Amino acid sequence: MDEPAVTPIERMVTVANPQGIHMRIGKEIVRVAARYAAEIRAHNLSRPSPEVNVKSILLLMQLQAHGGHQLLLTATGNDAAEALSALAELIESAPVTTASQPSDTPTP
Amino acid sequence: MKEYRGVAASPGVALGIARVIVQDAGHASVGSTRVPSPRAATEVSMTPAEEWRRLEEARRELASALRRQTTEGSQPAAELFDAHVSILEDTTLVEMLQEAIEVERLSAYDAVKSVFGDFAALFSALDDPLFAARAADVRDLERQLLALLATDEDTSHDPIAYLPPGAIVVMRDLVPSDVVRLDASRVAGIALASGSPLAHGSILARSMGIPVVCRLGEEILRLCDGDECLLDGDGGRLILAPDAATSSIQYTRNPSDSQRVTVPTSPVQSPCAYTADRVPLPTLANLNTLDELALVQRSGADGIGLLRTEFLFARHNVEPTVEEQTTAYVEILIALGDAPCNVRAFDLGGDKRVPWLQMHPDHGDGALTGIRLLFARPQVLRNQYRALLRAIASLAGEGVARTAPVRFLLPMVAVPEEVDAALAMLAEVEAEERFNREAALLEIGAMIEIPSAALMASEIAARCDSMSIGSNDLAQFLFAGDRSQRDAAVWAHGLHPAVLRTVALICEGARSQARPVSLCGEIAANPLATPLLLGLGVSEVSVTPTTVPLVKAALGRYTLEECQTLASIALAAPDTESVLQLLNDFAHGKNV
Repeated sequence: MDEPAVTPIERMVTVANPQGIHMRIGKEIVRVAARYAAEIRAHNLSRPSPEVNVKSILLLMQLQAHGGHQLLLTATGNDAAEALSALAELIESAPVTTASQPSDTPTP
Repeated sequence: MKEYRGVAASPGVALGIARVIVQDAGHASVGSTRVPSPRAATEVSMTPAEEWRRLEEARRELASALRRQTTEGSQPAAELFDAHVSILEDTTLVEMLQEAIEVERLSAYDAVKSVFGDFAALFSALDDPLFAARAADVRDLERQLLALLATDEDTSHDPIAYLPPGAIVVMRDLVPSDVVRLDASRVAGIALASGSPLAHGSILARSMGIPVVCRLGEEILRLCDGDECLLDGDGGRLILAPDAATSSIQYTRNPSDSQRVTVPTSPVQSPCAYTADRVPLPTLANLNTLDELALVQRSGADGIGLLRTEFLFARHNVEPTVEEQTTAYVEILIALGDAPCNVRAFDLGGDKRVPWLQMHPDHGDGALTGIRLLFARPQVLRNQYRALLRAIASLAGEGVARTAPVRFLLPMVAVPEEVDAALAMLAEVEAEERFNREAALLEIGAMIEIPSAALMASEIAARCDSMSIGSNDLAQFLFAGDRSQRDAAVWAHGLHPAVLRTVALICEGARSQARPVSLCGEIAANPLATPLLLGLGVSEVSVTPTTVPLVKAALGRYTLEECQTLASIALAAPDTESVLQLLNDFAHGKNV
């Protein structure tokens, strides 16, 4: 392995889903984040919040992120850049639907 | 093998496995400083690896049950269960569970309680209600996991009530309510980091024949559940991982050890203990709960010297009714046959609290104790006395003839006027019940535990039928001590000359009015001190059932005159050490 990228990279994203980051989209975010080795953390800039590990759905919900809130994502690791683009795409594309569940029912 | 030294608080030697109960912990802090929460509550102690395996199994089982529901249920339900599976598989949650088991060495059960509790608290604290509501999901999962982990259906979530067989309970301190909740069939011994032999918790444990060692130090709280250890309630030691030789030596060392005392199965009374010159010293037993009644019967006690009625109903959430009390007293009196029974009125206050007698410090009665607390709640005293009168009357109605007295003891009398006031109240109840106290051989006694009462002993004796010295409280009040405090070494054994002189003073007061004096407390339970007490003028003693045979056996070698000589030397002693030395010399001089 090459030298790991120790310098964290940051990316600001806006939550597109009007329901905010609840269980269902949260689950998607965790699933996507888990594909990457990088350590990825998030912080809600739109309200007081802790900085949390994006790979944990329980912690992700501590952001209390609503639609329109701005999140600061920070990633550290070799695949940090790829991880952040994938997550940004997911969070900024609204609303989230899955193949098996075309309905748009908000799931808190 | 590691040895911790403490103070023996209840005799007996027990080999068992540690069950560490940390009492003062909770889910209060989240994130930064995690407080370890109470251990225990699984039915067997296991290694962290086994606990982890057990937790993983439960988690998998729950997840697959939830997945089945996502395919069977409606869409909203499916989404909810799907979300629950996500929580159950959350990486942070799993890491925290693993840490709780492997680092904090909690059981699987307590790890779930601790970690899920932390998360539920985290969610509850969120200000957005939609997110805060997720706390309920976390709690729901916690509940389901705990149900899977607690295999035995009578698992209460109370670690004290639920113990593995042969448990050596390791905890900081022991309060009476703990002892009442203990599963006596499973607890082998109790090791306390602090505590006191005089605290009511220790006294209750002693009455149940459970070995206790206290003041072993905070380090014992870091023992692990399942550690094998040997608790030496005679020598005041806790030995971690004892080798085979130590275990067997300890077990055979003291054949008179209370755990292995073979007591006669029946009758209730074995012959009274006499001095060599046939002076009797009736040896009665203390009774705290109906469960111990059989133990008292087998102990060879000459009766019940102290029925601690406040413990009899300690599990009640409301005041026991007259009927409930009557039933209990009838059961005790029938079991006792024609032997004396000393029923102490509810003695509450201090470290003795019951849920049904709320005391309000704001109203000034939080500091009330003994008879003064009963004066503040006259109906409690009246109901209790009424129940006792009815119990005695119903026995007479059944044709059970008694020649031995029943005594109703007024707790913690301070001054003679309190006896007058109590007698007036009791006389009202007698009139209402049309009860003739003299004819029924019901006597009223005063508990002498407060120094002022000792100084007024003659006046108090003149007003009642008998006096009972509670030597533990008496010692505490003489030394302005705290029963629970650690630095009670000066008076902890009750053998300080100051205590002995006070006992002598009370006996003198009683003798001047021709009243008998009974004594219960630590000194009574020490067989070395039995001849001393007789010499001081005590006419009967009351001890825990398991100690009765030891005390009875202690007297026969001495004459009354020898006991009186021993007492006069002890009264002149300068300190506890000298008294202890004297008693040892006396016992050994007579042994050969």
